[in-house]
Amino acid sequence: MQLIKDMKPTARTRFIRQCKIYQLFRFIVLNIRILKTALFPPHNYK
Amino acid sequence: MAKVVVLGAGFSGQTAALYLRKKLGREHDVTVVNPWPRFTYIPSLVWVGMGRMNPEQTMFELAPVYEKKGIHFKQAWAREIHPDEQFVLIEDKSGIKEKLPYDYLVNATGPHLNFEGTKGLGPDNGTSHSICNIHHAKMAREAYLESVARMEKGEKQRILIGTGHGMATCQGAALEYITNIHNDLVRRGLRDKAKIMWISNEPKLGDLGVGGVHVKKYGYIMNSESFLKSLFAEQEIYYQVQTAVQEVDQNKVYWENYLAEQGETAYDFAMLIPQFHGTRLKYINREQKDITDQMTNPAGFMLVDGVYGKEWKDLRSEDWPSTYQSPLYRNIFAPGIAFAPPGTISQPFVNKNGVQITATPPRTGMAAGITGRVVAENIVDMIEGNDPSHREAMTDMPGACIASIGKSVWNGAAATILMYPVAPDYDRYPDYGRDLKVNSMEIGLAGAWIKRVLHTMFIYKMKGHPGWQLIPE
Repeated sequence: MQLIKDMKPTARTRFIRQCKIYQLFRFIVLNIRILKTALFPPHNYK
Repeated sequence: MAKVVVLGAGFSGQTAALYLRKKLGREHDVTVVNPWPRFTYIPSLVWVGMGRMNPEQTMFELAPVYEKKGIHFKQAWAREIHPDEQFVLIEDKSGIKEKLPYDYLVNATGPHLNFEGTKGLGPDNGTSHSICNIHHAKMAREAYLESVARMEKGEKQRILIGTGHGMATCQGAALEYITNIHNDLVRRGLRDKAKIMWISNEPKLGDLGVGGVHVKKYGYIMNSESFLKSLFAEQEIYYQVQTAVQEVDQNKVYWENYLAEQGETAYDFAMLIPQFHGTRLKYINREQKDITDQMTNPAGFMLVDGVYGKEWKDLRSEDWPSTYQSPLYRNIFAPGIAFAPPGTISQPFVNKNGVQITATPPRTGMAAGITGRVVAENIVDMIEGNDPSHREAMTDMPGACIASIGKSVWNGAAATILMYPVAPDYDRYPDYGRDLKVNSMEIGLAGAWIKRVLHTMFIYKMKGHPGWQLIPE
């Protein structure tokens, strides 16, 4: 079992992850991205 | 008139049944056979397993939905498939057996949870827990809350989460559980009382049974290993990968790793995902001979239109099944977990003692829904006198995984992972096997909102409410 301490998120990253206004923007962006990927994936029509 | 029988009412079976009913005229008959009277939304069992969601919120009764849709429902176990005589032998809970004739059969029976593959594993005959079905999730909740009560009294607890077999899959569910437990203990002010540990059969952290995911982020191409290492560092979670759990007793798990080292890890509460097998269905031919070994792979998953028997390094995208049709009986299909993948996505490993330590491919959630729809569309094609025309291989299928890290819609979080395709295609994407324009990974509160919205939307879809087909699988 190992415990690492590298790459811990900074206070700024933790703030951004919980910032309601920014996360509302990300919610919209991510939903569009998920829908785009699910409905129009870059299919291989070879 | 065609009779279509769907075995199983999970993600793939329910999706297939709803599409079949929608696309076939009322002169055709659709029957669903399921041992349980309810549909369970499995992804939310993570929250049930720690007392953060009421079990009733994850379930609904199937009979009223089927009555409204004109789908016949038999609450029974499928015991035998007779593909030559075209009937399924089913058995209800009172032991009465019945022959159910079919013209087309969808085997969407999902997994058999192979707890017996690891000595002492599982809540029924052992002391570890699982969140793979509602019964197990409730038992996990009771045991977890008991651990919480001990921590409240000042006792230290060792919490071990991960995979309970060298060939287990569904690492994503275990990952959600461990990060949710961290958040729950932080919320209760008890995090300092717990040592939380991750044990898994993945070749590296963040593999998740799909060989890891690469994304473009902060001007670099990063992989999911860095992403998970960062998360575990933040949450102070101890981890050990490349490990096959071989035995579980009352307070220890015994394991063996890639280097053939053997060891033990002590725990007070453990949730270990078992290996998945195919359900124990027998296939019987016209001469009443058992042909199960011709229809399934050794793990019991049904062989479909994939190319089987190739080495992992030789597998190509065209080897993955795309219609999910049996090559021996063209009227039998297997979507979701029931079909046999041609190999693993993660690199397989056998240590010098011959112990297989390989993360097997996940086929749950989005993949199960998509394959259920493809199978329904192909059956409709055949009923209309055409060849199956719908194809969707895992090497051409998008994957979206919203891994909850904390349930709260105020200060929770989730990792939103998008990938295309699910199984890497190195012919199309030689560097990383996937499209880096599609792949993405991020953690934030927005993910927690998406996860909660998906819970409501998918239950709506599975109930077949108006517009259900507009919600993508």
